[in-house]
Amino acid sequence: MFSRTWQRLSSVVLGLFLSPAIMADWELNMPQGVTDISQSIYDLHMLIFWICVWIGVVVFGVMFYSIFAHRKSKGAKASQFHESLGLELLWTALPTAILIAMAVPATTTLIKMYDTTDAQVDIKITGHQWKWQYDYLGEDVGFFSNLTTSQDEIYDRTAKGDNYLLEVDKHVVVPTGQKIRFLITSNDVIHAWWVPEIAVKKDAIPGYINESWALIPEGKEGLYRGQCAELCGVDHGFMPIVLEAVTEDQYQIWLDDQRAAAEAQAAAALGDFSHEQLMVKGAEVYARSCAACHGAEGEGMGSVFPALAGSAIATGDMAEHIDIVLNGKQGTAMQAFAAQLGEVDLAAVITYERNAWGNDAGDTVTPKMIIDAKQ
Amino acid sequence: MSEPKSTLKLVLSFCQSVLAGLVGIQSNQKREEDLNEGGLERMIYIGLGTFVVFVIIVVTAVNSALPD
Repeated sequence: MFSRTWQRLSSVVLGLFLSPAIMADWELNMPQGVTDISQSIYDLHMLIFWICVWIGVVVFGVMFYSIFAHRKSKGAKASQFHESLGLELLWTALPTAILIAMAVPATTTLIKMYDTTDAQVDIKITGHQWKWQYDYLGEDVGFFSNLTTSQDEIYDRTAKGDNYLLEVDKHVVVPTGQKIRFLITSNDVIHAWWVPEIAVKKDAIPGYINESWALIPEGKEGLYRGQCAELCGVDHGFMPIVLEAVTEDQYQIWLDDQRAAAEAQAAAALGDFSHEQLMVKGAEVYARSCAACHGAEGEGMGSVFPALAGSAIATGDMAEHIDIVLNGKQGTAMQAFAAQLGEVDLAAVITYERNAWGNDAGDTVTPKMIIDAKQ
Repeated sequence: MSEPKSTLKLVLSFCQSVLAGLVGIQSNQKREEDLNEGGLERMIYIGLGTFVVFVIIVVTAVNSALPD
């Protein structure tokens, strides 16, 4: 029995070490990242790691040598002495010197990390359960970034993709070659905005604004993924971060596109939509923004997230339904979506909730009604 | 019985004891000398002075490390 367990264990361990594919993905160390600060942190980490390794090797080396070389069977006798000023000075001075040697580069790096002055781009980041909101200060650009991994992947109905739980609908776009200051806060509970490749990991605390910064060098354009690093509730793992570094020119084009899209969205809200159009769009919005809590088929989740299929609100008074979606419900987990979604998306998702999964309200919520309800 | 120490020697001896206390290293012989010589008040004053000097050193080191 025992030997069979050992055989199995050995096979697993050998398999792990011999499989090149597994070894390639087996990243134990922290990433070096793409910024000067991330490189400094990595260097610091490695310096302290090797200092610890050498201390371990020396201490255990001396200990095991002493145990072996001066063993009782060879006639060794323990020396008896009460105090040794020289030794005491040595074992006090040596650790002090090592600690100071580690403190100097650590302090230098920390001071650099906290220097958020002279930033060229300011981005306010607000954590919500369970998404991130980005506001580009002074640029009139802001949006929510939602997880786009499908419910089918999450519940194993389809194969999981390469970026499982690390995909969002809107990337936080930043220019390379410019110092970006992140102002990080939260709307509800404590979150933490963490993108390892740029070495930014900062708590998002309601009522406080924490600052951090990054300067991604030119030539390092690309996608950098991160996650919430503070346990923030049932969907803590479902609020990833995708940071897209682009050139300065591309960044300016992106800003213009965002402003134009916001204007187009405002104009679209005044247009006409058929019931069918709103149902199709509503299904998309629901899957992206509501299904995580209320379930893919409106079935709800326990007592905290009530079912919408057959619910009195989703089939009852339309004004009350609109009010709850726009402003949330105090004392419950229901958030206010007025700032999170555009008028068309709100009208579509409420129409969808009132007419999907057997709900038969039979009515249509128009973007115009949402605009009126917001006023 | 050893001869009584001069004031300067006594103060230096106390300073040495306070510094030894700071790092936690003191020989048994020195510890017994301190107990026999008395002078608790002087020891406390020197201890407080050393504490102030230590704080000044830490503040200066931190300020010199911070950017202007």
